[in-house]
Amino acid sequence: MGVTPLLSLESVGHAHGAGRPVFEGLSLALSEGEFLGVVGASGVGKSTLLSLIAGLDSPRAGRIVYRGRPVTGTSRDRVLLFQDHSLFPWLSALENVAFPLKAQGMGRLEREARALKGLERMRLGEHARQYPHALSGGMRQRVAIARALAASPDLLLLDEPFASLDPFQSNALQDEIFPLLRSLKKSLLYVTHNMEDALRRCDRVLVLAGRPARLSEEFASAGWLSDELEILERKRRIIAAIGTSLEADS
Amino acid sequence: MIPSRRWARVLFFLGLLALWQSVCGRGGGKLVASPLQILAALAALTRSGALPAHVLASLGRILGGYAVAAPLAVGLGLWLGIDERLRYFGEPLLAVLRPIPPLAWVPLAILWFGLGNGPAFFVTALAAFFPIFTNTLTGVQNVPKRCLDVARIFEADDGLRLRDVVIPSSLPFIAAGLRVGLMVAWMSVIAAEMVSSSRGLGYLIESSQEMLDTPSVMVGMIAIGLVGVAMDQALRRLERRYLDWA
Repeated sequence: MGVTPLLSLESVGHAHGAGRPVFEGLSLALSEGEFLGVVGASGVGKSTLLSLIAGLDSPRAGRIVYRGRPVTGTSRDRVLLFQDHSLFPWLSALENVAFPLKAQGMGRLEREARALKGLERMRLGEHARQYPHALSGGMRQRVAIARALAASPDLLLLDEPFASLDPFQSNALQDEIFPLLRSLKKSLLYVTHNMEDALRRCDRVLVLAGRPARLSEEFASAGWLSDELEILERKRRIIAAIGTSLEADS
Repeated sequence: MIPSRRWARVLFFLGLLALWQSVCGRGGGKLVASPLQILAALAALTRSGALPAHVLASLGRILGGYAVAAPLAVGLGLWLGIDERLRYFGEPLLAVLRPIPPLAWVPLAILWFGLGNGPAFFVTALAAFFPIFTNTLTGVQNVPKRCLDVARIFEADDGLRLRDVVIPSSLPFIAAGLRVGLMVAWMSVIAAEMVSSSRGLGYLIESSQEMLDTPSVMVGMIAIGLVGVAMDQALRRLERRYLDWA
């Protein structure tokens, strides 16, 4: 892991319209190659946080810095993966994966060949010509991951992309995807309400809680946790952190 | 549809025809022609070539007007949909023009184009324009934000965003507009022909009514219905073929 952060948030604050602030003074740093998990209750602003980092929206206060430069818009180097796959229903799986390459101006033959390789890596080669509606939920999410990887981003922002799958599919897909992302040396910011997923898959887990939300506790890990008791203990502490903030909020 | 249900439907229509025939009586009346009278008029009009000529005249007008209106309406709908400034200025004007029935334009159309094909073309194009335009605009305004976000994330330029996101996403709306536009145009061309033409199904109905030839009037009406269904089915087929992802 490098010393200079790939991504840093410096006292970021945000609100939707004229409403109550969603965040206040949010600061974090993500190193190159790191898998960082952010857990929090529903509605705490996890998706908004990723939206800001992806550059889809601008923070009201503070700044977000990526590779030493303030984030002022979207970039295919920081790709956001949504919970609901967000594939274009009118494009086949192959065309969906080829979309980022088309946006880069790559010729048709080359982008289709590369998109097919990406799909084959996800074991979806034979479904290349199918539309998303003909694929299962897990397959759609695989296509979405293949599409995200086609853009060759350094940072992947995962907005609970496994939450819409059943636990079996979710686990199987995560068992496949996380090692793949490690092998590709991607950096990852994974927001989820599933504490166990975050604790098992990420190097470090932050708890986002309160209203306006703050990062309330951090759990560091040298690697993937395998000790069930340790995971349970950390889950208990996360629940306590979130619970305290919910009580304070009410 | 399962065969027994299909037969039930055929029997239902045959029963309806039998009832109609028995109500009208053998001689029929001037108010409503019997099915047999209509059949006789249909045979006579087909044999003489009058019916095909009138159908072709109406079809020519609608296809001409539609061919002008459809690309114009889709293009303008897309443009207004993506260009907020143009929408700001253009929408109020179009909102005033939209409720004016196409037939209300006939006097002006006669003044501008004289009698004959001109007014019917114009009214057809106008009738088709608004449903197609409105649906296209609605389609563009309803492109899922998430799809636009994905295009932004991958840094798609305006052209790619329009080609690969906005237009395909709007296609179901545009297709529905094209179908509604075709039907409204079809109804309008018939009405325009009644006022300003000497050929076409509208003229056939109008001229037959003047001769108190009720069976021919009804032949004209039935032809309008059948041609309308055929055109709608043709568009539905295209829709099924090109919108198989929806």
